[in-house]
Amino acid sequence: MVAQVTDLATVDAEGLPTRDVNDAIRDAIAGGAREVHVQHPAGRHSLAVALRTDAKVVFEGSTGWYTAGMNTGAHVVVSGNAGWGLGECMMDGRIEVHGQAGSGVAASIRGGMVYVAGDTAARAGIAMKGGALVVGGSVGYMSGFMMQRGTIVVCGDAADGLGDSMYEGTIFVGGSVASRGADAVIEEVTDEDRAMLKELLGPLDIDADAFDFTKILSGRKLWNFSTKEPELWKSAL
Amino acid sequence: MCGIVGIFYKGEGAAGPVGQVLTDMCDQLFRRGPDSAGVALYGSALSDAFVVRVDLERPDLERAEEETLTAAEELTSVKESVRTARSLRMVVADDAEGKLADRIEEAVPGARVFSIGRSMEIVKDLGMACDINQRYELGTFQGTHGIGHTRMATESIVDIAHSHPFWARPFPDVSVVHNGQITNYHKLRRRLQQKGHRFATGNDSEVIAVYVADKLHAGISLDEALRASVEDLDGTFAYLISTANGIGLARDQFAMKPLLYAEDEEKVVLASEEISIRAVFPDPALVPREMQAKEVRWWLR
Repeated sequence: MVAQVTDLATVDAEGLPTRDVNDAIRDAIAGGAREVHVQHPAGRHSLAVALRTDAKVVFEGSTGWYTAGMNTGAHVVVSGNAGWGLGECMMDGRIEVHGQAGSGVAASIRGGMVYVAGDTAARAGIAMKGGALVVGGSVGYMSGFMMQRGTIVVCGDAADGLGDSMYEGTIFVGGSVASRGADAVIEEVTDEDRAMLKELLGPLDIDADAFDFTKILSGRKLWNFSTKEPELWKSAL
Repeated sequence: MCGIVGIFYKGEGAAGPVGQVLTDMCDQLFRRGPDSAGVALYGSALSDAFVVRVDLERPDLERAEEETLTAAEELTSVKESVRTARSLRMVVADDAEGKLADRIEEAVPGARVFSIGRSMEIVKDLGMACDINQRYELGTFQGTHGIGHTRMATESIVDIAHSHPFWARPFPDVSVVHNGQITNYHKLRRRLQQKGHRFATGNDSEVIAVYVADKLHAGISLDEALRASVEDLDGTFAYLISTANGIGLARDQFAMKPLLYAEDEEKVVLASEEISIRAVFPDPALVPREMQAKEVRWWLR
């Protein structure tokens, strides 16, 4: 089941129950592996969840829903696509998807970074509480919904309702924004922002200077209920 | 939750083992819907006849079969018939302008007409898709396209009649599979009933089938019908609608239910989750994309 050569281990997921695949990954890391390659993930759900390690886990193929959820420190790479809830509730670490990702990417993460090279579906970065989400392609409907902290960078386009009802945090979009959600406002990109983007995107081989980013923040009008602005509240609810 | 799947082979004369492919794909989604499973399979179209699939909910299956054949003979001629478990398959000369299904159900207690079409056949039952495949011998079915479903009931009873796919009665060859809940189906159904349509069940998904088929019958294109449905249907949905010529798909405005499509030169594969696609098509060159909110797509021959 687990083949280990020095610090590199290989797990073949074919025919194994998901629990056994996750156990094999943990066992390999506990046995000293610094990098675990998982073959034939075949789009299965809940792989590499709740890892507390700084080791690297590479999925050779696509994974399903909740990949690397609750990750705490691991560097998880998916060579194919990932399904819904990629890296949800991550505390720390790094998740890279070379293909596309489903809805709810990086939902509620508190730290670490999620990078999707392709596009993501709806609600990317929903309720983020820290950390960073970088999307090489475009994001779907209502991305950044109720975001509370952290940074989302979209190199492509954003669909309708971007940043709806966000509390705090920052969204940068390199392409077009179909529409902003309730109380999401555009702010000037500062030199400080540009330096931060360069630092964040550089290691991913993305040239931050090649984009004319739009910066989106919370207008903070929904922080407190105001009877003077009934229209805003109607649209938010 | 429910799981929906589809396969469409591209090009003139292209076909494949749609029965096996769809049931294999459904089985990967059984956690999304363990109650029942079903498929609508599209074989080569008959130019001068219709295929009828009747479900016989009777302990005396042979007698029910005879009664059904007798009832059908009253309105049309039955060219051939074969029964597999409780599914009776008949090839008939015509559908008596849509009256055949009603006639059979009136005459034969326990008989339900699941489908009528020149190429469409609907088979569905409780349990896993692989068991249904075996019970009804679907593994050898060759066809041009088809759709499948695994059901977790939310809006109506768990029984065979309320399983998917639904036939858009009385329109031949139109079927639907749906994941989600339609919240304004009472209103839509009443409107369609006022136009003279009859519904076989109280299920919300059946309304989608008749709604779209009614538009197609009025000469509206599939593209326009799909776009209109996204505006008119309230609730959450990802659905596939199949006709004799191809498959259309639509997703609700909140993108609440998952739906992926993957396409290459030979085929289009549709599924709620990638795990379902990978079980049958492991080639990483086939890349699934998730439908966007309010997006519609269709592939026609």
